Amino acid sequence: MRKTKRGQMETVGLVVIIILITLGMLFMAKFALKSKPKKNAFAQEELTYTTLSALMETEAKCENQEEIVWLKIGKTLMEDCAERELFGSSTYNCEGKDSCLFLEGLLQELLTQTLGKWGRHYEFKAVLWEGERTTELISLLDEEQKGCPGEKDSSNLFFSFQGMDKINVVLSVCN
Amino acid sequence: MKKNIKAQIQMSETIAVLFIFFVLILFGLIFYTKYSQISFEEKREELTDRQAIDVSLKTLFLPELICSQQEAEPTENCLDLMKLEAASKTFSKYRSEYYFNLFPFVNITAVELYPEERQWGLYDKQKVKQLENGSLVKDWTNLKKTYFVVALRNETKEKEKGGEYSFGFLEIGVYS
Repeated sequence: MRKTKRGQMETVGLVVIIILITLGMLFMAKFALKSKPKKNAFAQEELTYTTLSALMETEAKCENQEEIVWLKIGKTLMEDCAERELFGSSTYNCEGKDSCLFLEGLLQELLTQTLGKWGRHYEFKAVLWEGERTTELISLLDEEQKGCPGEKDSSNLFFSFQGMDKINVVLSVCN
Repeated sequence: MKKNIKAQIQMSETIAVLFIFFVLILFGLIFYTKYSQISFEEKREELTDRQAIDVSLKTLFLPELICSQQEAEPTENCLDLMKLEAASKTFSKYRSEYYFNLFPFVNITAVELYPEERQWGLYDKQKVKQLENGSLVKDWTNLKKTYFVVALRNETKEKEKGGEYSFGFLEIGVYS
């Protein structure tokens, strides 16, 4: 009888230890499997959209043959860049550069002063769509040239060009 | 004598088991406290982020700043330069009566990057506390900043100074 009671007591002790260890491990598992909250998903999407929208609305200072003109990046300069790619000449010559080169320099500077300064990696592309054929007009990466190999948030804008064709501008900000 | 030794051994066993039991409880408590601390910090950061987004959206759509076109829909992601010049005075004048309810403890700055570089401090309300000697000291440890890029519209369109739309951003800092 004594041996039986002793055996029972020892088993109870073992069970208590196992229950404690199981509870501890469940707790650790809950902590480890808890998903990291998505950091500011809304702010990220808004930043991509607002940056692209503001860039395309901005009017750039173009010193064209001793005359200063203010040209909208999104419509006028992009179209002029597309014309240069297709026909080899552009209407505007800003600071001694053709529209595409001028735009590349200006956009890189503006993106570096905003997204780059805030520690965000990005990709910017402007592509001309002529039916099924595409021609890359501008392609920019952040200063570290890392781009977005992984997850990213993108914003698109389209401008019509010479009737049927389109210019597609895409800004991607990496997560 | 043998019974005594046996009893002593059993007592020692019991004490050892109890000791290990309480050590396990202690580890559990330490672990739980650490987890609660981290969880609290994460939650606080999440709330600060949410407040920053909330303030940013309110600022972007404030009639005192947004680009308006009479009765037409106002232009999104656009701030009016003429309104910006007057806004900081308006915000300071009516801060305690009205604007504090909209923007509790935040710092709002509008910055133009292109073509000119300039900035406007629109609103700044820091958390402060009064010491025993009556002096006010800052009562915040963290300033979380959020940025929104915006277009800035210049109605006057002075050709030498700028086109109709400039490029800039809105910086919203939340004190915590």
